[in-house]
Amino acid sequence: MISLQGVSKTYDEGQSFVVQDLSLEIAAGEILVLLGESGCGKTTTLKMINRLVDCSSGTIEVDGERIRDSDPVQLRRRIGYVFQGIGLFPHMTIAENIGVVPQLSGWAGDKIAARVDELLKLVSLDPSEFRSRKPRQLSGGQQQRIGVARALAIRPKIVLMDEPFGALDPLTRDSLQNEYVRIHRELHLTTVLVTHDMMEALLMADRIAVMSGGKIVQLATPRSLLTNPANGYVRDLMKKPKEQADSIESLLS
Amino acid sequence: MSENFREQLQQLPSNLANHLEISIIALLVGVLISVPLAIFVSRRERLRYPVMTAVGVIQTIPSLALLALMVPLLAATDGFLLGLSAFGFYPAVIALTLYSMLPILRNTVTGILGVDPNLTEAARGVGMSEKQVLYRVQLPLAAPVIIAGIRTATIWVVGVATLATPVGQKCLGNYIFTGLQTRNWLMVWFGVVAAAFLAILLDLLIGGLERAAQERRKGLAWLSTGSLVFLLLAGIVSPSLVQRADAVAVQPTPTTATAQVAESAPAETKTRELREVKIGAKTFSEQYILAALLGSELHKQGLKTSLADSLGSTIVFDALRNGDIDVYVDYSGTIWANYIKRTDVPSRWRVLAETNAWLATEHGIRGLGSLGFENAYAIAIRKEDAERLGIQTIADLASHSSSMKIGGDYEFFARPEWKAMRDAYRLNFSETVSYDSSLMYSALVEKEVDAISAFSSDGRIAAFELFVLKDPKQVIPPYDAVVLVSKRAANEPKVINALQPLIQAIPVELMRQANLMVDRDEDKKTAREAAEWLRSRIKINR
Repeated sequence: MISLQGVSKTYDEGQSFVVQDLSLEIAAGEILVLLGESGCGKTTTLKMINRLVDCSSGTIEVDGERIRDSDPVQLRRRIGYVFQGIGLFPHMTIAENIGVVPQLSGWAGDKIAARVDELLKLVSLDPSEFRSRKPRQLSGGQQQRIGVARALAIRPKIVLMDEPFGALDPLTRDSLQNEYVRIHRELHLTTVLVTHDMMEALLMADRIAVMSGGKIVQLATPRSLLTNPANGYVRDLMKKPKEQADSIESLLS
Repeated sequence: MSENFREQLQQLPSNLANHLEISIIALLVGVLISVPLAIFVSRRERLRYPVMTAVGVIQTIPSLALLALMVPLLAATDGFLLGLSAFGFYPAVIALTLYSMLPILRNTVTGILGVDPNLTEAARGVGMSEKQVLYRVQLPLAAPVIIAGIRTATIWVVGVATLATPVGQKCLGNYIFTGLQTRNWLMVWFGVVAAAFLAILLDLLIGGLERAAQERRKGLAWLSTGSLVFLLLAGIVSPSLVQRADAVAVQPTPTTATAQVAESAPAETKTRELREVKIGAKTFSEQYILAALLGSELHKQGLKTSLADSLGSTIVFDALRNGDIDVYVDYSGTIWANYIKRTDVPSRWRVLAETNAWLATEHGIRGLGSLGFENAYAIAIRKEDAERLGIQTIADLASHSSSMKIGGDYEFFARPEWKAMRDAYRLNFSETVSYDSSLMYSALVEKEVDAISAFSSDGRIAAFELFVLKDPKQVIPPYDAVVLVSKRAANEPKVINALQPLIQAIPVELMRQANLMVDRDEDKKTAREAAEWLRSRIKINR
């Protein structure tokens, strides 16, 4: 579905690399998580897939097509994009926010309206209540639900998510994570999700690519990362959630 | 209602309409240039600073100077190679447009760059093209800041437009310039209040539009847009409507006029271009009075006239040369020294003859001759000083000059006459002070200065008990008031016939009295009233 071959990104003509010689195959239907600390190159890797950032060298293919040859605007419309900043347009209503891409793609008005209601239901918000509200009248969790709905507006098969739930409170985050996994399965999406939150990665991912210094340190399922860490870095990283669980347990006993 | 008030009210439609026209057009062009330019530089960091600086520099040019500079610039470049007239509308609108640019440009750039980067990223991320990001996200979100810039520009432009008078554009500034020169404060107030009213009205309407956009109120949006469009159209259309109404209003009295109009019908078709005679005037009382006098003589012949007063003194000559105005009164010495650049001082009749010959051969301008009086530069001192110190001539003044201050009008100390006089008589004043010519006489009486560059036809010389010094070395050229007629109007016999009776008809005493009527503070008359008085006295003389 998505393939990265020897992809690098440098902003200083090769003196240093944000992402270096990275290769990765993402299969249709999976949730792949790019996991790492800030500055490890995970967001840059994500943004190279929809050309918000252009790679310096290497090849990226989406659906078997080299994205270097495709129009970035058309490419981005085929790929949903959800990020921590949410970025709902404050001068538009919720319906207009969700309907903006269908409208730009020339959909008819009644078709857009129907799609907006369908998407609001998909993200568990009541269309009649939310349709004509402004983004500032919504809570953070509700706003990000709209963010997800907007990303899915013209039925992309691929969704890119950049720390989408990072700014939400733990309860809201938890329910949105579960809900997104449901939507992902329901619509047979392919999702690439960037996070530094270990629990989020373990709970949502089919596979996790642990990144450090612009490279993939290990690419594996959550289970095998926990049982078979490739090196000390991954091992230390994987200890954290277990340690947390243990300390919570000790509080209860 | 006083005569003064009525007269000012009469001028209101025309002044207001013209003011509205130049303000609105300048703002519209300013927005059409500045907003796209701002969008362009907001995406090109390297161009942003130079462009903003360049536009900022325009703003540092004093507005009066910017307006005045447009005149030679347009003249030298053949109206920016488009043949735009260097008089009136174009220099005014171009200068005002330049003046409107900074606030619009700066606010638009700030507004666009101030949009939350999360939103532009989201816009690109969902698949908007750069153009769509601009029109769907950046511009709508920057709109309040952009509109605030346009509102600032509106207030500035409406205010600065009052300075368009000296470049020959009629506007509310005509009240202010003429009012200040003739110390007619009601007139000044008319200009100030009307300009403020216009600025506030436009600001309110644009503000209404802003609120409508923010609160998405369709009714308010329609109301504001409707009113703005109405004003816009009114601004563009009304000057010509008002002019037509004026022309109808000044149709001469029916008895003689109908006969004359009928009689001259074939002639009118022949010289079609001269539909109205445009009268010019510089910025002082005598000029306003004489312009009104020329106007009433031309009306009597059934000619339509329009008036462009308070013109800068070089602008008025250029305007006549280019046919932007048809007739005005200048002074032979000014032509001699400033336009021909002669430094010798021959006799009064030779200056007249040679200036007329020069005007005709060089510029095709016809000099009809002297009105019969001089308005020369003359050095005046207080009568008591003249008696106490025994000063009779400029030569006598020289030995006292080192302990004296001299006042002059804005032009005087830059004029060749002053340099000639200073060198010939070895004058060495302790200080030179420039005044508005209407304040100069009071300055002498109040002993702010000890001598002034008076005008010999000014009524205040006698009224303020001043003493005019003789010029034994004859360094000051003669300043006969001469009627100049453009090439176009000189071919029209009716114009010449109407003005000919004024030649040699006004003795200096009459002109002084007429000037004093306008300049004095008690029992003040308007220029038009003084002109009517002068006209009645000339008739007695004839």
